[in-house]
Amino acid sequence: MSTFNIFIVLAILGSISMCLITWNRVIVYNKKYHLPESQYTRLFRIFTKEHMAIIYSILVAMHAIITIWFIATL
Amino acid sequence: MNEELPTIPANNKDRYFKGQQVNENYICFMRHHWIYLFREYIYFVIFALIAIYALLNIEIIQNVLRGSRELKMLFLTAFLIGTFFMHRFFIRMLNYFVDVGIITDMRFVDHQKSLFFKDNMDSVDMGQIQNIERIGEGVLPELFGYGDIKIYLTASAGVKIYYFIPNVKFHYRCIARQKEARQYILTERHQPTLLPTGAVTQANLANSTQTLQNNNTNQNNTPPQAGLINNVREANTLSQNTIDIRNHSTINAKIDSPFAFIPNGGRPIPLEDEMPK
Repeated sequence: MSTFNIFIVLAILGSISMCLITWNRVIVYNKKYHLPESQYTRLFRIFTKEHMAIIYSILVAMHAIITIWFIATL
Repeated sequence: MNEELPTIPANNKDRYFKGQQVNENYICFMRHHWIYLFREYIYFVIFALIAIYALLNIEIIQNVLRGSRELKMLFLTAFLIGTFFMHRFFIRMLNYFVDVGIITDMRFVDHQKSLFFKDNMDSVDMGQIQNIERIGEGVLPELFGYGDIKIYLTASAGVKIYYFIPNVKFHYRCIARQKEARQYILTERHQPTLLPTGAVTQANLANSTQTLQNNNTNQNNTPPQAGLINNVREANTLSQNTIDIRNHSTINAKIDSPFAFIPNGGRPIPLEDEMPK
């Protein structure tokens, strides 16, 4: 395994760890604050922080999968 | 048997947010307007276009990278920058959600928080607010209904500005009403002489009743039962026209109700009723 691949894998692991830590912070926040959301408090009247965290997780997962495929076929 | 049960206050401690007090009623909360993150959206759109373009040409990139160590290092650098930018964007978006301002019947809480680096809580008592100013200058604030709210405190150098508040007219009205209600409560509690004119105490009422009874007793030509009935009627009339300061449930209820000026009887204002459609 080349140095290039090792760095890429480390970056992916760091990225996934960051996403998990962010999820943890969001969950901790939700335990302390139960502010009722309405269409006037959502982002663009649609998105809550849970939506945003899910989109974030999906993008991080896609990012990791595509990058693994990329270095595997390089 | 008909004794009134003591009123049990609702325990709102930490009900909606950490730090909410036992008898503090939540009204509404707000975040910044979405235009607060406009620059981030622009950057993310540019980033997404570059990422999509790279994905569409991924085989060409692989062919270029094969066998070239320098280009691999260049790609690695771009990859790290792109990964960092993606995390930065989403963490900023989540920071937007946790940075809130909360309006209660007692105070305005500005919770300047981020997920990782910041956790400041600034609480302004509604009774300490001297003046509120709403600032909405420019085309975009008028178009999208956002603006700034400047709060002048009674303290010497107390001015607080809250930027990019969405539906600024609604939140301005909301803070102004809570301020009026809060200051009314505080004034009544500290200056009971401001009660309605003509108010008498129970002691005065008892003295008046006793005087009436004495007058009627001295009238020998009046039957005693008729005098007693007249006394009771006059006492009832007197009690209906006067207010007892020390033990009067209506006044206490008025003082204890922080929402005397607020529609919907003090329950959290349904935002749909006042928000622009």
